[in-house]
Amino acid sequence: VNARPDQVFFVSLWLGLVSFGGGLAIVPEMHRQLVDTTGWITPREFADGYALAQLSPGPNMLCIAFYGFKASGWFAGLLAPLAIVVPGVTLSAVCGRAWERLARSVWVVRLRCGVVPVGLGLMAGGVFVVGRTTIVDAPMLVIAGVVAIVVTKKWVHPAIAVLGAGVIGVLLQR
Amino acid sequence: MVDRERVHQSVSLAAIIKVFLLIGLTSFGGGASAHIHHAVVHQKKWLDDKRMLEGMTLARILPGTNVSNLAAFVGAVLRGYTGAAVAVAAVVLPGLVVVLALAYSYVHFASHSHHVQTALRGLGAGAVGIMASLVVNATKTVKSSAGRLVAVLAFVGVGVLHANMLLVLVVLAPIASYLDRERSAP
Repeated sequence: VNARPDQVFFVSLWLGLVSFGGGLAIVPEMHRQLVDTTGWITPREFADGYALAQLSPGPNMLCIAFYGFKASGWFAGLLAPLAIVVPGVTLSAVCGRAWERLARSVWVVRLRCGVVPVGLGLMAGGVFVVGRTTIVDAPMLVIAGVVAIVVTKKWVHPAIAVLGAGVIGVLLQR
Repeated sequence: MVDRERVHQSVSLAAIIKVFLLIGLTSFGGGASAHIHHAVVHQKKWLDDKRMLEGMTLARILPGTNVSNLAAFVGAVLRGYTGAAVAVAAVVLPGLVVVLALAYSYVHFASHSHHVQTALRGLGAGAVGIMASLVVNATKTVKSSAGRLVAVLAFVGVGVLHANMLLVLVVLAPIASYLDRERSAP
């Protein structure tokens, strides 16, 4: 425990406000804030937390609960996901109520044309940031590559593929 | 319009909770938006396809996770802000309980076990594979070469240069929007 819950809350709120492009797109900024700037989380813990969130149901951005708990305990573990989810869902609910008018707005189209390509680049940045910690040798690269292919081709369910990767990881390092 | 309002009033909060709780419990490894689409449009017929696709676009362009944003949108359309709150809670809470349980186990047990650590290495590599497949799928949503150039610049910005993400977004999103202006014309 090396952070105060309110510090974790405000960092998470910031992440929730700027997390354009979805859960994976926020990973580079999350890493910058939690690992590089504050040092609350080590690169290894960051990668492990993301992997465990990947194993859990629901949005992957829930890895913030792991980081909050690791940095500051139970209270932060509950506050952090709340803070990261609330800005987006509030806006979504407001827009859901006013959608008849908004759907015709040219600004919605312009925003989409701007945000979607940037979001794609941010997502790729997310893979890079976590991969740099995780992919330390050739076997790990092969595991990641195989999982990427079988999941993209929809041959294997993502959760099964990740679990299989864990089993192979244990077998390899016997 | 009148029809739609009548349909909305017939959807109970309990029914919304039931649908989103099931998705919250079973949506492993991403792709929950597709589950929501299937349940809300095809199984329950609460919304039509067009409105749902608009909601999915909205969920993608607003900050936050697509899944919780889409749950809030559907809940708000069906039953106002109460509907949004229960849909979001139902879709997020199961995963939150699991993540916190895993975090607790990690902090208290994982650091002592060699097997858990080697398993985590494999899990981590698998997670990177899943992330890569999400990126591959997302490339299909950006078709123009200008959009792809902006994506590469954004990647270099946050991945290589470690730039502040908001800065990257504020600089690049207007450029992408401007370069794609023919496409974005109404």
